[in-house]
Amino acid sequence: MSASSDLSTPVSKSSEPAAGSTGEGTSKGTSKSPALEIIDLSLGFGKQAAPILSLPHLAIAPGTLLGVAGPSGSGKSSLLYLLSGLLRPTKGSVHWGDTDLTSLSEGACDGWRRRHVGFIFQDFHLIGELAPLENVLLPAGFHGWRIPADLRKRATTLLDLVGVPTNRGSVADLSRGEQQRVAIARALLFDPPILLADEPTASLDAVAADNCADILFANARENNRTLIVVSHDHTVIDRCARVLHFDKGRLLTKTEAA
Amino acid sequence: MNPFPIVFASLRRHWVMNILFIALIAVAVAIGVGITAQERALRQGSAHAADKFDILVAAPGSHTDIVMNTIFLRPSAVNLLEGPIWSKLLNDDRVDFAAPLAFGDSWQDHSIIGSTAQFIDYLSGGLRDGAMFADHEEAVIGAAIPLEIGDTFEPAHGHGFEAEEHHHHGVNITVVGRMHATGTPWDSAIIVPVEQVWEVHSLSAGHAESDHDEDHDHAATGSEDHADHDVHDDHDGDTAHEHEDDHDHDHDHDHGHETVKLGPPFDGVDLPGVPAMVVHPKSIAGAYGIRSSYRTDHSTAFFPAEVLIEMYQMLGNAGTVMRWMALGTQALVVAAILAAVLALMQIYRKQFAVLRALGAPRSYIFGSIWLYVAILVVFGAAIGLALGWAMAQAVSQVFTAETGMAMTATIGRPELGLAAGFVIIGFALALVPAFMLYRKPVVEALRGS
Repeated sequence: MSASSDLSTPVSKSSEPAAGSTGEGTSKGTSKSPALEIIDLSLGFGKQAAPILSLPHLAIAPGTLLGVAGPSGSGKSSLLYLLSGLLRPTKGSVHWGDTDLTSLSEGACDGWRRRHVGFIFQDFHLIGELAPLENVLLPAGFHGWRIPADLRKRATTLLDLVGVPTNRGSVADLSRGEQQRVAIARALLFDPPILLADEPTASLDAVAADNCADILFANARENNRTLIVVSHDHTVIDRCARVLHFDKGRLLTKTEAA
Repeated sequence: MNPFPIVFASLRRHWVMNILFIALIAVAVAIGVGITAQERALRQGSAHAADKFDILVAAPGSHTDIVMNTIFLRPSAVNLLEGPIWSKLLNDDRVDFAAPLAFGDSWQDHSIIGSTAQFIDYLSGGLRDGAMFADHEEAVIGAAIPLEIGDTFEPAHGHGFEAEEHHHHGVNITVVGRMHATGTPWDSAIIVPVEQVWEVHSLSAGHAESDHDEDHDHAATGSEDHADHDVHDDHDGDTAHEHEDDHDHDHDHDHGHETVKLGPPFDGVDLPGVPAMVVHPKSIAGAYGIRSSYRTDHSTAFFPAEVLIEMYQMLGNAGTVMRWMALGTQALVVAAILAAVLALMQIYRKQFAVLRALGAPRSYIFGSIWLYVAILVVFGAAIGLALGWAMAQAVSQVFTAETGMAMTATIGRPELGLAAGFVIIGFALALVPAFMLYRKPVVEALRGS
């Protein structure tokens, strides 16, 4: 396994297009990753209730490694869902490059997310009955019937790079660390410019957590991808260039690595 | 969009429940298919059994009883058609063919019917093996009788328990021929000369008087059946002459070796009664004429098809009730499965939310759930179709073994329509869980445990 290997193999136009190559959401910056700008963001449930997340302004450059920290219920995961378009803010807007997520229809938002975002979850959420390779290739079936050969090759390469043998029968037979690495490979299938990770190491032991973090950060760094990690794990947060500390839905502090 | 990987994974994950779903659907479809196929097989089998019985003429009584006796060989007590009446029928110009049918005896629960060689030819189209009976103590057996040519058997009076308890006639009958298979209850019948039945029941021989007749005390048992001989004089002239010739020959021998007179023409004098006559008319007009002429105080004539239609109507009513019950069962099964699938969807909720987070469009989620339920329905219906056919076949075999009536249950358009209807309803109902999960908020599901 090599955490610093090149994972940015381009995917052909016949499969899912790489994000930076599409008109929608094209970055203003020099890298493939679009810049993020949040303006007057507020998320609440019901008109009278206080917002559960409020963020007046945030701008991050393409390729930023951003950590989001804070106690449970502080709005960290909600921020991730807002940034991916899974949640619509009560007020304000989320811009990725030229794309205002809040102005997209649900279908367009699904398409944007598929092309631009790789999601990694705490509990991996793999399909236990499928083999590692089938799990990695699962998103390829969202819009196409046949899986292009180059995408299949990329999935195999990704599994090889994260150190999971492709000949394993089912992901249920893998260790938790291996399962999370399969989930990372799945998130990287379409070479997305944005990686969102929600507590990616929370259910792993220290060695496996470190290993997964290595892969994530190495990929983001080497390929200039924007990585936003929600975590309680200091060993993960400490790797980030910028860290946002939230409490009760409000941004308390921003810290930047020296 | 290719939802098959996720669908197959879902099918594998809860495979026990999915097999249960498929089994429930299969049983529900099989009940409907089985009932429909079996009912049709019964109609076709009974209609085929009645093919050769255009008109039945018998003593007044229940037509259903007469049909059950003559066509389906289910013995029951019927009055006897007086000799002069059936004798007259034999000479009716409108009749192409007629034969007496005399029931009452059995061997190992196989009905022994007294009739004529002409009837055997008419029923079976000749013999498959052996020869036609030429003596009172000879018999032609149906295709399914477990006897060989040359075997002998002793007839008993009555059927079943009655035959075991009551006396045997003390006569040994030799099998001389076997009929072709007819696919009717008559394959399990033994046919002897009608004269043999009269003889063992101490009735007159049906032919001109002879020493043979005098051996029996027919007055003691048969007189009540043929007290009225008014019509005998109408036609006994010719037969009397024939019998004179026969008598010379008949009386030269004892029973075992004499060339006896069997079958028509019968001697009109002192002719015993018979339970029924089977009649094949020369024309349709003749058929209606015969039916009309023989509906008197002393006889009844009818088309067995009329009785069968009445039976089919009853059967149809019962079939309709059963079909509705089957439909009700299917509806319950569909409702139960739908409820179970909805419960299952709560388990799958987070899985599909994750897929949405990975970029799956709503249509992918909708298609996956719909396809999952649709596969269960299609497999269940296909297995149900096969199971229903197998059930109908099994029931048909039991029916055939019990009645001798050949029944072949087949899968026809009604059964295919029923299964297709179930599938279409299943496809429509599969939209419910698909739509429900389609609408579920993704984040709520992602946050759920």
